[in-house]
Amino acid sequence: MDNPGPGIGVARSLRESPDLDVEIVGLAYDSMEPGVYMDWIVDKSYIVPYPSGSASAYLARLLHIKENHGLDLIIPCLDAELPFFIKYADELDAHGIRTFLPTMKQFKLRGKDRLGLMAERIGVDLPKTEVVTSIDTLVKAVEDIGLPVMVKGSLYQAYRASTTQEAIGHFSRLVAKWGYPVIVQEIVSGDEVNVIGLGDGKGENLGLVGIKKLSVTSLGKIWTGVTIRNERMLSAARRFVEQFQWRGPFELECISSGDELYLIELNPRFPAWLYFATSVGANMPAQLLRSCLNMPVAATNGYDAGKLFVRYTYELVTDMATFQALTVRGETP
Amino acid sequence: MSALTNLAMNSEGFSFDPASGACYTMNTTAVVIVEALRRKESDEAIAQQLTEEFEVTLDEAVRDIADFRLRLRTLKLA
Repeated sequence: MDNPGPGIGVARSLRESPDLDVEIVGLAYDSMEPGVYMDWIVDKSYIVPYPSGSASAYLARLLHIKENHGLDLIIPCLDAELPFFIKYADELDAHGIRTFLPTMKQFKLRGKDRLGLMAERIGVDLPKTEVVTSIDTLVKAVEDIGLPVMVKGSLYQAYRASTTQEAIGHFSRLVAKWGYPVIVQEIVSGDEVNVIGLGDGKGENLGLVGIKKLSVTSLGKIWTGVTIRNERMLSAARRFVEQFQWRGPFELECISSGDELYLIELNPRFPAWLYFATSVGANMPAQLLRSCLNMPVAATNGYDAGKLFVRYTYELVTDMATFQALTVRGETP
Repeated sequence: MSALTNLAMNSEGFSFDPASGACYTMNTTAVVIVEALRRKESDEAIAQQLTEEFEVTLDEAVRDIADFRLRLRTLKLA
């Protein structure tokens, strides 16, 4: 239990788009996921199997939802879901379930082995990064890069290591949780700045918002932030969409230090802080939906720098009915 | 445009750099100097203005402005 997922931010954005009348179905992996209880945002929720398991079981579950309830568009919000949805995009489309995603070739740009080339083409620097699959290669990477380093999971989580022993500890923990490979990265200091956007697949952006993290959680996730107009970062995001004809949502995680801008990570999905962008005038999930369903796409009007984001936690009290239904039937009443 | 020109300032001395996201608080004297620098006024003219608005000699004002410029450069605002 740590950082929220992006799903509720996406749902909330769609719900608040004044020109859209949508019914929102939440796909959850656990009956204790908070989103399934937030019935003022999510109309109905289904438990789905993990996408890393049987693809046919996952597909069958989606088709069951389509048939029994209706499902016109899916916006995957987790990294682990994307390979499945990209691979089965045509099959889902044939059943009337749309997606708005990058191609598999584009998706692989996020791979740490391609990130360097990508960073070069969009005009940003990349900290020294090595992909490791064993303790031996990890130790060598730490020696090559120099301490301290960040040790990052293949899909999620990153820890700072000040000693080789600490790096080995993080490596073992990350492999146990997320599998191989693990990424070792040079630590660059500066402001943590992020930009999210939505590429239309033809080189144009359907929204773009840059922020600076003002405070972060122990996992490095944003807790408070502010919108900024760092032109170097915004230009890099525009070049990214243009050069790679990116289709779908994306987030560039960067470190800004003086005139330097380092790319830390490319996420091929909306981040958990997406609702911040929606609130400052760039409702990208709504843009995605319009684009995907061939509706007129609204003009992007930019956003103001200096808007604050403050995250908080919220307590929800409910009876057992929803939990029971999810546990027994795999769907909310 | 320089970062100083882009700085969003209010009358109480709170300022925000929209490019970097950095926030600053300035005292009344600093606000006067920054506003004058943004109007491209010379250091001599700003020093003269300071002597008129605050209890400071011309020499002190000139030194203070030089110090302040150094601080702005350190913060990459000038």
